[in-house]
Amino acid sequence: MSWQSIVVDTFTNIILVYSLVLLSLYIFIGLYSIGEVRKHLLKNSFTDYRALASSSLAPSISILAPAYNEGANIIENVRSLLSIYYNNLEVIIINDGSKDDSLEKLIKAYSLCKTDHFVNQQIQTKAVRGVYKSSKKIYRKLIVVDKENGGKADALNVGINISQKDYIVCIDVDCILEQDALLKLAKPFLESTKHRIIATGGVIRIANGCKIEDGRLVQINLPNEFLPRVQTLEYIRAFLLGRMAWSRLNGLLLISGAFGAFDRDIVVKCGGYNHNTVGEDMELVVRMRRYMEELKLPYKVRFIPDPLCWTEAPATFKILGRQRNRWTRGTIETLQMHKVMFFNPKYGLLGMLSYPYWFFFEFLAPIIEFVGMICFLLFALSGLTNWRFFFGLLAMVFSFGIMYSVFAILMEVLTYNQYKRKKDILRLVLTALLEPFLFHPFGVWSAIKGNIDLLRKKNSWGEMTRQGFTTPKSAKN
Amino acid sequence: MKILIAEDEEITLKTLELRLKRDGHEVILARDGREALSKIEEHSPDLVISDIMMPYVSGLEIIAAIKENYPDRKIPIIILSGMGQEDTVLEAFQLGADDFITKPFSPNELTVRVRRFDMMKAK
Amino acid sequence: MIYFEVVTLIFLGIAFLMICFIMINLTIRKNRRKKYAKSKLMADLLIRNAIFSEHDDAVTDEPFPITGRTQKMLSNPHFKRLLTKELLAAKNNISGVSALNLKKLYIQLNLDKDAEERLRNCKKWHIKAKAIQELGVMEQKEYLNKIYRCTNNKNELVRMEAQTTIVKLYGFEGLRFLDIISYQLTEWQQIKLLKELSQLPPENFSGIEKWLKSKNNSVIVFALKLARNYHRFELYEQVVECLTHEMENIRLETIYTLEKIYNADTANILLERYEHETLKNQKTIVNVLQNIASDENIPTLINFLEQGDNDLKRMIVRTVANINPASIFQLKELPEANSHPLSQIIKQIEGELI
Repeated sequence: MSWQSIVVDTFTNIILVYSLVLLSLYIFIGLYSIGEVRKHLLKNSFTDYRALASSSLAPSISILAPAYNEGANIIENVRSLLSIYYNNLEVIIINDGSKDDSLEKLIKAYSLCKTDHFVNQQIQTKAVRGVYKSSKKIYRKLIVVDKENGGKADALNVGINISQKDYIVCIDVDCILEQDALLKLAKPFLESTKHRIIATGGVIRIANGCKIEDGRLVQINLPNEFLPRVQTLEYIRAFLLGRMAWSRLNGLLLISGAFGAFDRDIVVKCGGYNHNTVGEDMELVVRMRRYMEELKLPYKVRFIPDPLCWTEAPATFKILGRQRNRWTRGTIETLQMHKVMFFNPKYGLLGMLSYPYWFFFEFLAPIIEFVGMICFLLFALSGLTNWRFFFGLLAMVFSFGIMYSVFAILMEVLTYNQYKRKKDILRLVLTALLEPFLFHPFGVWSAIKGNIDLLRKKNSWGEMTRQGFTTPKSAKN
Repeated sequence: MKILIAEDEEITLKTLELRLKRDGHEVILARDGREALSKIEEHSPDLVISDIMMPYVSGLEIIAAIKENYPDRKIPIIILSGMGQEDTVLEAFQLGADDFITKPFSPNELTVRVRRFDMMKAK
Repeated sequence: MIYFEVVTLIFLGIAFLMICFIMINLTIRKNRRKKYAKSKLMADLLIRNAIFSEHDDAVTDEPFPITGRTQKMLSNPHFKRLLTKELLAAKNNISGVSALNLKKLYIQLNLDKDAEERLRNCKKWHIKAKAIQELGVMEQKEYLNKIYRCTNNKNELVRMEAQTTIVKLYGFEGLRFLDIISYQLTEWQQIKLLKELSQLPPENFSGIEKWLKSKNNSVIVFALKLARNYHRFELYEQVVECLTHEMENIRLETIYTLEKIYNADTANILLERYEHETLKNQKTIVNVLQNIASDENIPTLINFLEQGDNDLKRMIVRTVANINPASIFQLKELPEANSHPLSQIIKQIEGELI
């Protein structure tokens, strides 16, 4: 046996084992999520969420909405946040040094006045220029903070410092919330007697193609363009299956930055959002979990399968590529910052399962796929392995992907059934068939570029600040 | 009297409609807060009966909007809500509601209360 | 390598089967929706007739007239379920004579027997819980014993619904399940129970004293909330005892309760307790003192400013200012009043006072 064939054989076996483990994990995740979704739906039918809205015992909540150059829609967006009916609530809008007229518009629309407000700098942030409150009674829940530009994480940290409530709900200001979304997010904090619930999150859906009026969702439609539609499928898969299964295991590492609730006390003790990473939403959850594990306190991160929040997805390859590139960097940075947990039994399930899963199957997957693909091509071209093997493996993995997507569509139809027309479901199935060929390679390439960018200059957060943060947050699983 | 009902729950809405029609009123229905506001503008009703928790715009905002948009025309507002906690009731009255009925409500009682506003209008 | 092809075919085959299943499911659902609309009209009509039966001010003795067609529909379980659902929704929103008529219709159609059947024989927790809820909304008191037995059921939803229903049917007396439950009441369940109780006229029920000494910590917390909501001043001594309980959250709830049943002594008791407390409870004590402390407590409170947490500092200043607005001047004379953070805190509180 020549040394070449030994190398090829070893390589082939590694790839094969990796693929099989990955597929088994996905099957496990898919099946494991079913029970949890079902239980939640049955429980939902007993729940009158409105009992929470006016109860004085409901958890007190600050909504934190950072805004950077959102002048075009800021008035309506804030309006829809203020129309949330919840007794113990404050809405904090953080103007992150916008260059447009956001602040002036807000001052005018809501009759704001600058007030002396002591900002408790529990977390270090850029300077606060002013705190504004409304002189009108109906807007008394509103606080607008004007600060120097510092990026999303910094803006959220200012919000955390200003907040005087027990829980914070971080939200992208352009997100469209479902009726009762806040109540659904708040309820899990009241449901556990044994564990402290440190964070909750819900399903994010794609708003492209939907009819929206006055900052509210009027009609749900499947996006007509291919890219948003593929992301619709991606989000269903990630949220309904992935997040649900991880939540059931109590191993969830990511609550979307677009809409999530956190125990403020723990957030402050952990030092708030980290502005040294582009993946601040994932990093915070990981750090909070790590904190609880190190103190050996019983805790949980809960996830709700109800669609709570609708967001506009990138519709061009360019913007989408940038988003995926950033997600990749965020993941790697987070994993790097907490590498001490890697297979560390001290961190329980977090160290032994969640972290390794992210390392091997989120961080490494695109790299292995990319390298594997190139190597096999080279092997096949030089006759070291045959084409049949190459295409056989590829076909198996792709057909599995299609099956998994169809399963996700099935789950969606059986549970929330947001897209009622048969035609829409068929289009979604068609999208699932096309995705491995038309979209997946692009996703892998963006991730590879993210890796390269990170290696090249470690950190590109200065550019982040200028870009603002209008792009929707991670739906990875 | 021309009465606008804003209520997102079908059965309650229908019950109110039937009842008030039988009492001889003209009834306009709105199934969410936004619809209510536009219909108030369109029909300028003599009385508004509104739920608090509704899609898009809450009943409390409707009170505030009516007070702001029609400062000289007095449109009485009856709030009909399942949230009868002191805080909510106080807030509704502070914003300018004229009456507060908690759910579950008695249709007979509602008739009587509506009649009172009818008489005030006649004066 | 043949394996790959076989496995690929299996995956695609499963995907195909699932697609077929989805399509069949959607078709069935569409048909059902059409039928549903028709059934719904019928159910609504039946309910509306009950709400607006001829005599508005009294419940009639005669049964409601039911057409042959409706009678036939009633043997269809789907229709029955729909009708029950609509009846419950109506009953939840309507009271008075109309509500009595709805109850009458419910019994006339033997729907209570159905619910009892499900309660007794069904093993599935959600069906059982639904049956309990239904009997509760429809005020069917004769099933008390069966429901009461479920208040300590091992399934969370079943026991929650049973507890809520017992309270709905028997008011404060129904709370005696608190004597026996071994599972913890979640905060959510406590909110539900208190909401149920808030719809009843307040009465001088007994039991809180016993529950304050319960072995079940969540029962103690709930008892404290009851004492608070119903201003049970006579339980003051027993509540004060909970101030030294080993559980932080029981002490926290105790502080809140004392705020509502306070006497001239309470402020001093809380101030004595202050230095033994956790930061969270210290904050609560300071907040609560806004409403119950008097001028003589101000010096003690000002002394508390010598600690590190700025949030707590702000709360102390707010409390002092709320007890007596004039004391702002006293605060301004403190040596640290001109430097960060106290100077800004005082400014903010001054702004709030206006």
